[in-house]
Amino acid sequence: MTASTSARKTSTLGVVLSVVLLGAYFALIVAAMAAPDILAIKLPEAGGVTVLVAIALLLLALTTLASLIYMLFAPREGDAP
Amino acid sequence: MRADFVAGGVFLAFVSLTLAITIAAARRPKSIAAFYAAEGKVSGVGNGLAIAGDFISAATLLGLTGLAFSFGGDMLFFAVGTTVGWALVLFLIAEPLRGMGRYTFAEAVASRLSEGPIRLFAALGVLIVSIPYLVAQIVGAGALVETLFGVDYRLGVIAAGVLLITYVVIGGMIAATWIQIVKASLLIGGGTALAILTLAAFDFDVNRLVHAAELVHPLGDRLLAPGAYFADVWSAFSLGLSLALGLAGFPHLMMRFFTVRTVGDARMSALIAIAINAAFMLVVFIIGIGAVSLLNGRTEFLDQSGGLIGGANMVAIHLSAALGGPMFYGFIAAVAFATILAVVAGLALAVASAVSHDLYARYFRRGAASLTAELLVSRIAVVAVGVAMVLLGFVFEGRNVAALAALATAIAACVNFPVLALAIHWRGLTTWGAVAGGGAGLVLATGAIVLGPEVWTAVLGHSEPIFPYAYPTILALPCALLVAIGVSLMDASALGRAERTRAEAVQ
Repeated sequence: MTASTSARKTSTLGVVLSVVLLGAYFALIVAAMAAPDILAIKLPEAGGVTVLVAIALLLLALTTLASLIYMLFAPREGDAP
Repeated sequence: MRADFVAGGVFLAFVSLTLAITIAAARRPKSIAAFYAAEGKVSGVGNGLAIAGDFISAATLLGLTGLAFSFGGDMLFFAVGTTVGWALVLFLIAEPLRGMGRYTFAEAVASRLSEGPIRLFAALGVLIVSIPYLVAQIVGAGALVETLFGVDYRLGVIAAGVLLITYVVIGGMIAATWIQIVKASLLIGGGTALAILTLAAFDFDVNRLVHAAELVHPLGDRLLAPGAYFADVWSAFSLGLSLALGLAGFPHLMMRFFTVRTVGDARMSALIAIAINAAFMLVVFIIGIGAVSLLNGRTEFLDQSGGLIGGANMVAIHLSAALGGPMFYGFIAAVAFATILAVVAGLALAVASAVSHDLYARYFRRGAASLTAELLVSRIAVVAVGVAMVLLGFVFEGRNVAALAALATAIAACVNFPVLALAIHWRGLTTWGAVAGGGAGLVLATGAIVLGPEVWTAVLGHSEPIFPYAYPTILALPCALLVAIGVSLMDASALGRAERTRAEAVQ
């Protein structure tokens, strides 16, 4: 693998993860404005928090997980062949 | 006024510690690389802590707890937006940026475009982005000192200005980085302890915590539902764009990727910052929601009008007094104050580097400036920034800290982010495309903010804003990108053709 190929792979993984996270975040915003009552439903088994809180916490965890995946699996620009 | 002696003692001890760090840093060998980029000798983990410390500012600790306290669930849009923004920095910006430049945002962009116009534009962008963020921090400092000691708000603003100048003029980036690392560790520890104390007050039963808050909050059982903060979908969308994309446009955050030695360290820095940011957002949410019932009816925290002393920005401070006693209250207040000072120092350093390195040394002196002269100009710039910050702190007294910081993020998303992102990821970008696109973002973003609700109505006193949304990103960011791409595509100049050819050859 050449350095430039490695750089393109880094970019592809980064772009995919970015699109997924941005899409999820903006979907949450649109859902909050379009269907606030659904996100206001309470989840007694989750400490009485709402669907909004549960999804937001899930997104925080997923973002950290995605960053870890990138850290572990994305080849570094300039990696040796 | 309460616990003055204990809080004051802890505060002075903490400030003394940070000053000692500054003096120690000043004894190290002097060089431009040390002043701006700590000679690239900061570790990845240490730099991640420093980045997190830079971002977990007054806006996070004070502003977001206030937002959770006042608006409940809508605070989470801020929390998720900033964390996603950090991830985008890691995935798309951090590593290529580290490989492009040496000290400043301008240098990174100028590395593949014509240096003169880019440095001029980038320096202007750094100044415009930094000013509202500096004002947000200084407003928080004034309110904190007012609450802590019962003294005049303006005294806190002046004290923060004097300490800022001392930190940066004496210690430079090494001092700012080590203060951030120490402060971030204490802040994360203190914030986590406060969240644990909050949960302990409800026997670690989240159901009880939520129910108690809903019983006394004006929003009732809609406290954790969406819609209390945002007036419409466009406002929410515009803020989301600002938070998710604006981080990459903050010069004082991006500058930290130049303080590590390798690309791997830059990646580790971003990962550490993301993990800390995500965890701290949860801490802030627990503090804000828990405070709703725990501060309810506590007259010692209320002013004559029945509101919290110092406003909603002081929720975390009051809660620390309610749950942890005077010593803990003093500790949290001192760490919050140091947080503001450290963030402001980092920002001032970014502004100083834009003025002295990009404008003076590279643009006006064409690289012929001496080290002594450049450092002198940098320190003069820091003093000017400190004075301007104090004066603007007087003007914006009482404004919401988180809202002011979000305005800065919006400007960063509209001015610096488009240019940086295109410079890294699009071979077709030319110098004139970058200048035109960034300039369009600058004019539209600042114009919309001045004509919008935060300045036109809240500061200037007009009855109706001309631009209806507080955050201009939904308008200014697409325009900036379109103008940058359009001008680059139409750029038939010899310079533009040469830049495209060079970029193709590198690819």
